[in-house]
Amino acid sequence: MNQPIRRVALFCFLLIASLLVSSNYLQVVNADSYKARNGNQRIILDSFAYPRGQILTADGTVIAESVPSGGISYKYQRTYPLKSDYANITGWKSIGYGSTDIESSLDKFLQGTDSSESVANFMDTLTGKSKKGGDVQLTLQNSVQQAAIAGLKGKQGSVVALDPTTGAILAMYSSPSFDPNGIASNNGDTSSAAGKALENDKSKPNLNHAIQENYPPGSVFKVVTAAAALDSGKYQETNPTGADANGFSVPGSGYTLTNENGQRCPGTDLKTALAQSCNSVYGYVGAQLGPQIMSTYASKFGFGNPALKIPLPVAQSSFPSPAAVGSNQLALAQDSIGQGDTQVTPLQAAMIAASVANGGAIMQPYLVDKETAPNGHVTYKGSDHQHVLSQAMSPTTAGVLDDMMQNVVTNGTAQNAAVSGVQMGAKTGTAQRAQGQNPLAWFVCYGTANGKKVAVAVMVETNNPNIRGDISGVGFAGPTADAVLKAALGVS
Amino acid sequence: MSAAPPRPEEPLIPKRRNTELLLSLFAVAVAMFAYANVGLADNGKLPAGMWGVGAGLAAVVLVANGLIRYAAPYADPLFLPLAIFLNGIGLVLIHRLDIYDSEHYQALHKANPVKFHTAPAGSTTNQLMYTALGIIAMAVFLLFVKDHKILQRYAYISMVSGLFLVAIPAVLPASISSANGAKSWIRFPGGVSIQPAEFGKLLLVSFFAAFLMAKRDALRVASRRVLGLNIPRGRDMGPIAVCWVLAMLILVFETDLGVSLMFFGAFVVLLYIATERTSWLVFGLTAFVGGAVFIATTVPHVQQRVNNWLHPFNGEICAAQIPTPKNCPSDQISQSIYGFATGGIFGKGLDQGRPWLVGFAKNADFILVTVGEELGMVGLFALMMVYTLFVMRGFKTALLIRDNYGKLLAAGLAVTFALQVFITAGGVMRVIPLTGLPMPFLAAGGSALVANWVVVALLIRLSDSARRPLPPAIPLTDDELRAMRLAAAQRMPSNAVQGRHAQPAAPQVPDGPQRPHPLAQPGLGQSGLGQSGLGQTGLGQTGLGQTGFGPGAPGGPGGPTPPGAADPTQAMPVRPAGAAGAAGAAGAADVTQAVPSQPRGYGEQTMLRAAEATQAMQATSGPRPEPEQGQTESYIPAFEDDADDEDDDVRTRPTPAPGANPSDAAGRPSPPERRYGP
Repeated sequence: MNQPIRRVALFCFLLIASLLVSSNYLQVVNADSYKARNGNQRIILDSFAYPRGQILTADGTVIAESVPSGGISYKYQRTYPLKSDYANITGWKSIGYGSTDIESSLDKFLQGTDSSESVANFMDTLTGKSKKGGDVQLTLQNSVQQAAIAGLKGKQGSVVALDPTTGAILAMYSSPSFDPNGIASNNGDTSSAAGKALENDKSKPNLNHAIQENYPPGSVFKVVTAAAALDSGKYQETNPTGADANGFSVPGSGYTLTNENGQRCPGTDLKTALAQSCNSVYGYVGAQLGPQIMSTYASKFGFGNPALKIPLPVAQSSFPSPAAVGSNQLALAQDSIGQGDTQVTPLQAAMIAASVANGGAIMQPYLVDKETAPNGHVTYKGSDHQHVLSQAMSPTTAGVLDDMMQNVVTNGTAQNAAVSGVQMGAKTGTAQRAQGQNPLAWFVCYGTANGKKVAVAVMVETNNPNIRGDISGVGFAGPTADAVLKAALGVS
Repeated sequence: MSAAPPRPEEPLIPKRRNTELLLSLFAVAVAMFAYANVGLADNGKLPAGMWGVGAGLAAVVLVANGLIRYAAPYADPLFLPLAIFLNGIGLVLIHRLDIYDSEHYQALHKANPVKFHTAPAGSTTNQLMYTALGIIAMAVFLLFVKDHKILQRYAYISMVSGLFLVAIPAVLPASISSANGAKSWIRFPGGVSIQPAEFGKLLLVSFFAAFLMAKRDALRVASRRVLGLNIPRGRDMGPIAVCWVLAMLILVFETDLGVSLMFFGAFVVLLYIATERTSWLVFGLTAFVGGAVFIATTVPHVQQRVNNWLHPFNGEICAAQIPTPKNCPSDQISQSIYGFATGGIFGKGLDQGRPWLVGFAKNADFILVTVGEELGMVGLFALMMVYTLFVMRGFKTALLIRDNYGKLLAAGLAVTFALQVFITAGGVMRVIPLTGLPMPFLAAGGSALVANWVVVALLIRLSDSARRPLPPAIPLTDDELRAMRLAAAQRMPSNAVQGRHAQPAAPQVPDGPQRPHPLAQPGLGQSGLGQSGLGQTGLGQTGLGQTGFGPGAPGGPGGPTPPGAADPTQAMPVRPAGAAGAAGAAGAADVTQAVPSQPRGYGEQTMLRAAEATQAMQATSGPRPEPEQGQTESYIPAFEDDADDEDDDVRTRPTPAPGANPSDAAGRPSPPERRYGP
């Protein structure tokens, strides 16, 4: 009987050996693909098992941090000390709702699992330090942000302020905002209640309107049309354009593009028309330049750039393609004054102003100033990655436009928004929307003082039909833009 | 010589009880290190009761070791330390999972004291209690069952009670017997529940061993050869058919694939070992796989397990849908896979992973996930090696032990244990469908733990019997040898004729005061021979080369002395038929020559005789006749086994019980100077 016993013993050994093979397969060969599966709760549990890095503003204000939660599965919870102030920048990191915005874009770094942190992690393991994620410092300045928040208090709208020479975003706010602490709570009931409230809120507070929503820019877009006109050489700053000052009677449509309140434009030159925001002149000029040139210039300013990331993804601003416009002069005229099919994000509006302030060059806008690994080593610096996104117009044209936009402040529609001690250019806009909706109030400007430069775009949206007639860019958006401008330049 | 020969000295065989003690204390130390590790990882402190628990376990080890010194001094020194190691690690793992449960409860209680008002009981305390109970069970067994052959006598009682225990949950109402889809429990009021099949399986293995030992000749000899396979006779298929039906009934009524697989697997393997016929394996496997496939496609519970095995991630995919559909399949297998994957090569460290994500049965069937995640592949391999060692020592015992019932029982226990490890771990690691067996020794659960300690007790008892030296033999003088051989040769012809029969008539051996074994069928003579071994021994020494290897060779000190030895009718050696007879016929002359003129080591002489006898047998009888008692076959490999393993170098030299055999006493003087000790 011994021979079969030996065989059976061998068979039993083979059975156990098959377990060893299986262990190898599960724990080594296929481990990574199993670990990366969506259903693997351990991924989300890991991200709450130790503190994530902080998110700070440029001046060191903490806007997101991890605190012990008191729970045992999810040991830490994300909190946002300034509540709604930076909600659409930081986003949230939630057990049930995943992560958004910076928490999502820089998730790996904040978690400490980015490849740039592997050395720091390894050293920390050796020295027995407990694990934590890396810190992210943003370019936002709390003072500027607070000015934007105060300016939009009780209103619906967006503010973007950026440094035209670097592209660093100094403030970005979309009102109304929301408090991400609710949704980031480790308490499932609190979190899902906050999540449901957000889903049901029609104003979409968790959408960063400053970069993720498109609006008709209205007269703000005339800056682009002016840049195209000046660059083309067909038009000069102060020469008459040949447009009808009363209104542009669009050939073949039987439709006349009139000015605000049917007024007559005091001059048909680009400078005067910009100062008074004359539709008749800029509609005519746009139509004369043709769809090809207008479309090209829109692209140069950053319209339709699908790859724009700051690193948050930015919605594409749009200007209709030449094919879409065809020979429709009315459509082109309307597109050229920022109506029709022209759509911009508030960030794009700020980039238009910034290009004029920076000699025609648009710097790539960015939010992340630096990333610091847990051991204090800076692994990424935003200043090392500054680059020109595009040259929107020639520097000469930029100089001329600068003069024209300063003229808007000194002699034009933005006179009420003038800030003493600041050399500033601006453009107002009142963008018509669908029938029954109030127009949007726009104000874009740039200013120089104390050796600093800033470009600001403010958009204010209203719903009250009783004030429809009173809406103007300078009246509704101007004060906020001024406050942000002052905060950024450090003037009072 | 009329006086009884002086009692021979007991040979010096290493008992290895100190090795066992040292290894067991080492196992306790490992478990304590793991325990400390859990505490340090949990709150940076050593567990409060650590020294107490360590001292308690060490005391248990001392007591168990002392008991084995007394009751089974020659037992294999590895069984106790391996069991202590597994049990200790199991306790630590269960404690580790209890920590999570209690912390989880505290967090819930803090949030909602009304809803979460009762703290979880925790399984560690119970498991400690069951460990003590298990070791007590082992002690009681070792103290009261002095010889494993006693169990052989209760074969049919074993069968009836084993079947009763396995089958009773199926008959009871589901409210008492059903848990997690399997109807394999008996729940008593007061929260105590047992899995009777855990004990039933031991009784059934014992029954299989006794039954197959009795039936093996019929099963192995009578067959037709078809397509290279020996097809058994139809009527011999009875037992296997009964077992198959039983396994299928367990599957259907208790929906317990694990028990069914283990039960049937052990039977088929024992059948193979007993008959040495591969055809039985083929039949058994075919029958089981066929039945299992049929049931897997028809019984919903089994079907579901197979689906979970094939598509482990369906559960979580289903649960992720919004709204979550009802009756999503279990995600335990996927959680288990994640656990193993997260552990990687070196593991997360004790108390630093999340094995509790497996949820239900995390500290029972799925306890291996904790090992995989927190101790990593390295820890898992180490654990598997411990299991392997345990199983292999079981097989080693089966190889060494002298009686066929012991062989089958030891092999059966080893196979059952190995199958349980494979079925459980394989289910968790997605090698086979999950079947719901607890991991031996590791898993929380009283019945299984106590039953496993009884397995340890059985194996200790069997290995004690296997390693126990027989009392030293008293060699014969050359004159005596010649005389005996002459007498043998004179009796030759009738025996040679007998040897050609397929089923030789066995000598009718009176069993003395012993109750005849229920399986001792006259035509087979197995137990009859086994129980009257002393008579055989006398014969063996008369030059037939059987010395010391007969299955009925007397146990050493402590073993029951077969009463037949004292029976005067046994005075003359009873001749075994068949091979022995043939060998005796041819071997007479050879051995005479082979007897050395100088005295030499008895062991060598025995070897020489054995080899010669075998050669002679082959030379004279043509094709080697089927040995009907497994003697010739079993002793030679056993002897080789001894020779190649010094640890187990138990040279077995039987001797008649002193004064037991009047003829020995009269006709064979035993001069002390001619006694060759080891």
